[in-house]
Amino acid sequence: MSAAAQQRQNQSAPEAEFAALFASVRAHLPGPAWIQGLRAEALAAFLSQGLPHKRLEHWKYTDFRARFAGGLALAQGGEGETPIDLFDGLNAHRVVLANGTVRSMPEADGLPDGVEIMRLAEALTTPALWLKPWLRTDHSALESLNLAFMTDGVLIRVGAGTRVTLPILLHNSLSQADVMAHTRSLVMLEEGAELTLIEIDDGAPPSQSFLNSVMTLSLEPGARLHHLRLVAAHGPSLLVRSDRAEVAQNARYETLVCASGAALARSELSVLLAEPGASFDLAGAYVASGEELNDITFTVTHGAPHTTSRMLVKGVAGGESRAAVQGGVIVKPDAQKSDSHQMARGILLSSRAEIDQKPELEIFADDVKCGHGAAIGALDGEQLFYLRSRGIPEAQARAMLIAAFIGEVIERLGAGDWQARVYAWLDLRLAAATGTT
Amino acid sequence: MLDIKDLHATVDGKEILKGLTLSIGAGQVHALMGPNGSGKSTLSYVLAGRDGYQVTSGSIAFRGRDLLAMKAEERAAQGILLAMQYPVEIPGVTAMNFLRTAVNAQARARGEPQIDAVAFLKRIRAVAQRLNINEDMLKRSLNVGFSGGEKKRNEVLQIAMLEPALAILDETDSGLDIDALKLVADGVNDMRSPERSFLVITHYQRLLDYIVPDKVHVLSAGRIVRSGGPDLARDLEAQGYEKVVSAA
Repeated sequence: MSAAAQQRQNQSAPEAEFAALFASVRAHLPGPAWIQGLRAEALAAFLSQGLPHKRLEHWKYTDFRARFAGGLALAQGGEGETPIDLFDGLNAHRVVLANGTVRSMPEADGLPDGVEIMRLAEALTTPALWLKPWLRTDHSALESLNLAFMTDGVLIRVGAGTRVTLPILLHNSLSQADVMAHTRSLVMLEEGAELTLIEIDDGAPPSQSFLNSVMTLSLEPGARLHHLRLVAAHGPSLLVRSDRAEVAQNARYETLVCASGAALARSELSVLLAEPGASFDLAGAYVASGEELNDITFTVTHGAPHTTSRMLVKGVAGGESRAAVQGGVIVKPDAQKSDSHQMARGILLSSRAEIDQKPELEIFADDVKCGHGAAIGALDGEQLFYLRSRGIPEAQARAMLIAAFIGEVIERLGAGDWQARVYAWLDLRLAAATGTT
Repeated sequence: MLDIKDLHATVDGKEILKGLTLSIGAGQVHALMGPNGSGKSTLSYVLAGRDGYQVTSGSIAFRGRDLLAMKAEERAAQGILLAMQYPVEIPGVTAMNFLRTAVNAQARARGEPQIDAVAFLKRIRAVAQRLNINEDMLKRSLNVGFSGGEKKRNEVLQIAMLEPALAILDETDSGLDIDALKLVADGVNDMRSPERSFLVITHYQRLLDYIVPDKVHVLSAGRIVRSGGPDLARDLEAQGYEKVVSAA
């Protein structure tokens, strides 16, 4: 097929809708002329690729296009129920993004020295040129779509040597029906800085909505980031996160992603270990039930020698749900002594559920350690009998075993006040997946 | 307490128990001995209600009720506890949490009040101390990284905490050195009472020097071929199964 024919085909119903929507709202989107130019360029980049679908290798298990109903307007902030904050009462610096717009954020004088938080909508009105490398039109189709329509988000900067004691909590919700929100955030940790970032993406729209969020994380030498991402939207939500992190010399990026509840949730993360000594740890947990589709996709690029990555993703799928875990590791030619290990484990709770796990390694250096493993099974019958033989009813025994299975992942990010909330949330999600309440 | 009549049971379609009859009175300790493959472990799993163990005929009455009609968890709540030969490792579930969940689940099934956390902790500490079980062990994942002796002591700890009417010890002595064996036997002897019965399954007479049974039965090819007093165990040890079984 010619490129032009491909583009025509891609520009069938949903893509044409995006193009028409862009034409009608572009004048109201924030940013001066050069930003507007970037937006138009990004839209063109999106249209040339179209919505991702199952014929693309990286979207093989997640046919976004097939699940996308279309007919969505651009969220304009405003009303719409804010879901209960799972971290209500947790001591943190809070930013609330609702329906694509920042609703509240900490006052500048409420933040510790060395920490700055700025709204994207504000940054875009008088954008500095340093923003430009962060607004790229050559990334994925949905990142381009995000760039074309981005309305708000936050820029977080932690200055050199600053250790932020309280977490920064970013609550991003989309609760209105038939809308989409494109939020974009940037997190910069300067040399030796340390931060705990907690994110929760949620919302329970009455009918389909689409939250398309993009985050760029930059860790300068020696920085440490502990990053919890709770992908907790439910009901007919479509939620796609595209996160990119770059980790410099001796910096460490640790993240825990927990996802459950949305009709479609894709948590995608690309990490570049750019300099020697950079390290990355990913823990992932998913609980899929009903007809949910849960996708955790990551790509780690070892771009320098002596870099380390560890990935563990575990989850359960019940009902008619589907889960996909795609783990890519790329070791560049000069990244000798790279050390990488990934493991994916899934438990099927029903015969109609499906879990696909795909590790993918591209290794161009010869002196490296790259391990991977994957296993899918059912609950262990001997463990189940052991618990039941002590008087624990079967449903409860199953729930205990599943919670223990997932617990290993949750513990990996280390302790924090957030942990009990995550466990409580997971208990509810597990009850939905196992049919016990 | 327990009345097994003409029990036939199959595993994977193969008949293992072939007409086993056994009666254990309240407060009694019975020992069940027999060579490998005679059906000792099968009997213990049939009693505990494990899936895959099919009873094809015969009956089991436990305290006057039909045991075979109950699920594994119901049997436990009614007072059956099988101390396993190979206790299962369960990563992520602490020994402490497991036991508290079990104690409360059984109480709920019997319509009794839940035990509060403080009272539970006090009781488990006292019992653990008697069995020389380190409290740290209880905070670790169940049986994960436990030594063979620790696993068996942990099984006895469960008997002490769950207070079953009938405890079945499936080769609890296997893999134990003499000190651990004494500890386990002391634990069991402490719990002997007119209301509690034991079925002690073992290969060797050694354990029965410490836990002295009221009756000894010899199982061979799925049936009990001889029964007698404690002396029978010593005869078996001296003469071997073959001779005792063929004389029967």
